[in-house]
Amino acid sequence: MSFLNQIALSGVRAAQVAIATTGQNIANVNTPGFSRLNTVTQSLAGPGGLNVGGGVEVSSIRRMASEFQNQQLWRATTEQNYYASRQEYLTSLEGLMSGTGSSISVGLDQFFAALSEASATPNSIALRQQVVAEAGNMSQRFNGLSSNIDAQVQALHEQRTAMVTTINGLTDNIAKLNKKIIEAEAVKGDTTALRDHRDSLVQDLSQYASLRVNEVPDGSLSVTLSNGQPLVAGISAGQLQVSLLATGEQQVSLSFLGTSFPLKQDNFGGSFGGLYDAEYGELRPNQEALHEMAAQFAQKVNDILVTGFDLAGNPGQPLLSYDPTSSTQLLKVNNLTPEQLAFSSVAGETGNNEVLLDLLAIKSQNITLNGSSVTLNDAYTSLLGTVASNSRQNQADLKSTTTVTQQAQAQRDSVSAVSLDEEAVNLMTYQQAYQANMKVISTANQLFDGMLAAF
Amino acid sequence: MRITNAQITATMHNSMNGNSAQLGKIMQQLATNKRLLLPSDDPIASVRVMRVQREEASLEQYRKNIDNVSGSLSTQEANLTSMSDAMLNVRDRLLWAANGSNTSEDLAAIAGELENLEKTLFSAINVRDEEGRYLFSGTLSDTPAATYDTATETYSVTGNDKHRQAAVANGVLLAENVTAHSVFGAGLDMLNELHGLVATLKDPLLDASDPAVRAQIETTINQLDTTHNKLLATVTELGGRQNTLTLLSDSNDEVSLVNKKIEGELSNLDYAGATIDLNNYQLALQATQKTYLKINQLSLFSLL
Repeated sequence: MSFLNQIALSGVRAAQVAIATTGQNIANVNTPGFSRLNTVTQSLAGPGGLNVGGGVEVSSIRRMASEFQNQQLWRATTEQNYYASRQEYLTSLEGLMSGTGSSISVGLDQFFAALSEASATPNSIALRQQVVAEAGNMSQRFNGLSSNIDAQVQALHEQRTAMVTTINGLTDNIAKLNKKIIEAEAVKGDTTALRDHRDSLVQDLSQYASLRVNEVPDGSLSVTLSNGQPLVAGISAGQLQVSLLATGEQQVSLSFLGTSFPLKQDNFGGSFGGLYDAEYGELRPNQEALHEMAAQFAQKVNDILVTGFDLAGNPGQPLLSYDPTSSTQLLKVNNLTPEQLAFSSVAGETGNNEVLLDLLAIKSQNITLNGSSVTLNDAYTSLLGTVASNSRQNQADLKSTTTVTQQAQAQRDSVSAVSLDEEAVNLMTYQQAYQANMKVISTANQLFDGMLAAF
Repeated sequence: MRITNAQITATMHNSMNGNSAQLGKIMQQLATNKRLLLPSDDPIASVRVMRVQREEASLEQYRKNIDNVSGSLSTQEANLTSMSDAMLNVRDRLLWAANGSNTSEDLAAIAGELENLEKTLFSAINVRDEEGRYLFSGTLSDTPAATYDTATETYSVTGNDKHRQAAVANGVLLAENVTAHSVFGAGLDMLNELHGLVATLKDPLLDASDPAVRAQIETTINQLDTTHNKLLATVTELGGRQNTLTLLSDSNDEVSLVNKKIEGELSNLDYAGATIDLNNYQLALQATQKTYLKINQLSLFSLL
């Protein structure tokens, strides 16, 4: 009868393990990244010639995780975060550019309105003063918008620096977990929690860059960027470094196992790649376009003014100064008195407005911006239009990638997450199994007692 | 498909976040009465709105310019009309003087009146605006339109014959001034003629019956008539410019009306639609919340 006892005992043990597993699953119902566990049992062969068998054993505790679904989730996360980080800057940029306080378009309108008002009485000091004042306001709009964009670039740089720190922390931790998993695997230890943790870290890392992840036979994960540059290999982690160049731009380099090389950030993917595209695809080009507009506008106004004569009959002087090196002081109004505006085409004719009319004509003249010939006002409108379209496209992409991520998460959760109802059923099932096996033991006992009583 | 607790929670979160975001946007739209909160809400409409606003800004300015130019033209017209009145007075005196029955004393008295009128005309030609600019001196606004040279005892036009073009509509320039040069001629013959006649008539040794005096009076009358016709033609022409301004102003107003309509259509919120959307999202949010509560109650553990 001890044989029956042995069988029942193995059943009790298996049920205990299964109940413990269920308990672990229930305990981690809300743990992000937890992969549910499944008790895998197999029947044992009996010791003798009979085919009754030898009970049951827990062959393994299976971690219900699908490598494929994790990869999909990581890829989707990368995509979503790329659009999300770009969107932050697109939204700020279009907000900045469309605000009435910083709109170059409104500034130009007001400058030309002041000129147009002065066209009937070009020697009115009050109206000339207004032209000088509006030139100042418009310069301020150029300067204000450019410094606001500059502030966005600075904020982006800070964000990049912070991201680099986070990425370095993540790669470091993944390498450390790799080490622990290699050690545990070597002694057939429990790696489920370590793997869950590592997968969560990879998912965190996948927010920042597009990754290629594959597991090598010793249990460690090797993580590389999509261009093949290594982030984690075995127990070694790559570290990113940010340095500031003389141009005010940031350079990112990757050092791995003692060698350091510059990192290409285009097609980097993730929010880190999103930052790069926001900086070099949106912020900087628009700032350059502003510079271009300011330069050509100042040039046009000045070139016309120097052909004229002021109220005292002196030759005209330039009104605007353009500084190509500054990102906060693009345009400055020169220190001219209203009388010194050279609106007259003939020295001494104070009521002559021919030069003023030439200035007014700038409104409908074309400048060259990004290779196309447009009026100043149209140039600004088309800049804003482009930013708005890019933002809209990006919002649509963000929306669809968010849905894809949600679906990938749902698919991963469908396999790996805990269902309490299922665990409740399991709990009852294993409890029953436990009780039944206990009953078998007590039956074996009774049989044994009965047998003893026979003597 | 296996449905896990995490999926149910995620679905609820996503659904509630989505509805709340939409609700927030609609509330902001309702609060501002703007359909477009950011250009990316509708890039094409935003660009169009910007263009329309720009055109509106120009029209607003042109409206002001038209008022200014129209005011300035009216001032010039009023001054020309008063010159015309003075010239008619001169003509009356001249006709009287041409009457053969005048004695030399009569003629001297008439000469006195003519001299005053001559001064009136001279100062009317040199009229200035509130900021001290000569109205009729062309683009030489700081120079008197006409000057009297005491040495040669002659009047001459010292302004020029240039017209100042003012911007009154998109691409439309309108001459803003009339010049003494164009009305009275460079030599200011009418005033010089009048001045000569006054000198003749004031002469104590004047022989009232001298045919040469009569001839001089005739010449002056003819000169006066020629100049007066020119002046009247100028007044008429000023009226024509005023009509042009009225036409431009009307057409500006019409364009402005269309612009405002377009801007309204593009950027104003459809309140009825927004209110319906608001209700729908509220309903969806409430439904999600209730569903979540119901599903949450469904747990096998509650039955154990």
